[in-house]
Amino acid sequence: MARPEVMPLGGSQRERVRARLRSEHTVCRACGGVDLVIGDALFLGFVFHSEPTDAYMIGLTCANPSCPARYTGIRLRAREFLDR
Amino acid sequence: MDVYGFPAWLRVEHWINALFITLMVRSGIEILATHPKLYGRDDSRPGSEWARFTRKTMPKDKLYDTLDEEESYSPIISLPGHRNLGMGRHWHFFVAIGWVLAGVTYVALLFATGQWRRYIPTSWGILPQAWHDLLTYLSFRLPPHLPGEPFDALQKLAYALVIFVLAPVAILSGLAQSPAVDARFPWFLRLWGGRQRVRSLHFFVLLAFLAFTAVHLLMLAVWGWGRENSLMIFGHGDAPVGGLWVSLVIIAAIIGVNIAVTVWSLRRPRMVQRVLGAVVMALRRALLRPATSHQHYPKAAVAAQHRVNGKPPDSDTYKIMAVHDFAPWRLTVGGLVENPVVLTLEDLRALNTRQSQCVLHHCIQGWSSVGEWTGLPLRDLLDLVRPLPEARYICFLTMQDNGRDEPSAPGEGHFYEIIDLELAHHPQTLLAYEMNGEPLPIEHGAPLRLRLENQLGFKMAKWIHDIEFLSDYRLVGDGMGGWREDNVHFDMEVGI
Ligand SMILES: [Zn+2]
Repeated sequence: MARPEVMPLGGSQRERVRARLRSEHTVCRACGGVDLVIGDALFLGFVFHSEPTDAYMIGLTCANPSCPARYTGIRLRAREFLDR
Repeated sequence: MDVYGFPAWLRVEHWINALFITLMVRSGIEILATHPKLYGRDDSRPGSEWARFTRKTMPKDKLYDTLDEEESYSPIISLPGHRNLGMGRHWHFFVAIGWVLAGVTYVALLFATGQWRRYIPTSWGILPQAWHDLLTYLSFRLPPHLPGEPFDALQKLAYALVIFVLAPVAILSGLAQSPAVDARFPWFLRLWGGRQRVRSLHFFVLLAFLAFTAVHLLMLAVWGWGRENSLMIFGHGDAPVGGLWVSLVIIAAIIGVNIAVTVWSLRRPRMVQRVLGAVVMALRRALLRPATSHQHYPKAAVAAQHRVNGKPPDSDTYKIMAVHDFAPWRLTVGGLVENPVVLTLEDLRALNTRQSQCVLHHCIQGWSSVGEWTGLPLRDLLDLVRPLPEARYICFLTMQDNGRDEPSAPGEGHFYEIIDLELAHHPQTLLAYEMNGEPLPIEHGAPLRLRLENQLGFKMAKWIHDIEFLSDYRLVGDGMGGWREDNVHFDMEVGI
């Protein structure tokens, strides 16, 4: 059963996230791996009071099977990955 | 000649009652302040209130919860004031016990002594007489007393209504707001038209007592304050000057008691919680704990929007868990058990029992909502972990850090609540991972929350990540049985 709060990303949105990861040289914080699989997006702006109203969390999963903490994420604003 | 007189027991009851009513009204207003809105429907949908006693407006672009909607009233009108629901509840229930005992004694004595005749009319002829009396009052004259009786017909009817209708309605409409009573006897709640209608009615009872008191005092002044008080203090009307002065002393004493308990509650809330709680909790455990929830609301009753009390964990760890649909989340179950376990959400879902229940949620603040909850009955988790013989309590630790997540709640630290093991065996005690047929939403406690259908909402910990079996609840936190008990002086046993 899909969690309604979690939004799947389209191809172009995924590309923008990937470009962002590349430009920031984002690596897995647990193992240093560079192969991060881009997952879904969670809108943070409404439910979490500390977040800007257009904030999202994008799920990232480290592709290294021996990584001690494979699940991670990156916080982006709507304009940084959503289609205009 | 008045054949009934004012016997000593009646006079004592009158003044005790006067004190109790002031405490009940003020603590009732404190309880109203925590959710100063009244509804006609049980979903308490925001904006659907028919009355509001607050000017606060809520944001549209951010989640707000019912703690943000709370009002802080002055101690002049509420006991103890300054947003102290926990203290207000302790006083309301403690005094209610005394008030009911005094009331039962009073009514028993009325019937034992034949004094009931002073209030209960024995002929329909009283109605035209009362109407005539009303017209007499409205023309600023005083009607005659009934022959051989202390009152005129209108007075007699007014007292009969207050004693034999208003007071029982006050008690029963209070009981009908108990989650334990409503869970065990859903028909009783339906009798009153639902949870929010009976809450509204309870408010009208408050207004009726205020109106009665105002008219009562006015009439005393009209008939002669000194003489009337002489009757109620000395049992005869022959000492109006003494009646005047002693009545002022008694009124000062009633105000003095109100001030004393207000100051005590504001300065030493923990002591009030312990002292009053000992009485109130013992009675609740005895009377309300046996009430087992047998609720099966139709799915059509499910609220489109279920209010929330408490905000979700505002941490990166939690947000990353959520975006991965809680795949990284683990539930640790340990403490005094034979078989401690660590479970994933998948493990929980795969356990062979899965139970759904469509039930009425009662918030301690007074709002309600109907929802359908699905998950693992807690008794099945007990079967899996096998509590040791010395385990008597279960502590639910959550990912919510109140200092960080809940600006509207005073106090710091991670939210937790403790229940006793017996409650875990109730058939509708559930660890819910779904709500209304979908994964449990973040604001309602994702990925796992507790459902206790004969208790108030705050006991049903949300965002649970750890369950510990304990021998004594006093070992945790400030030792009062939960975060709300520790920090805002709520009571641990909340069947009402
Ligand atoms: Zn890694």
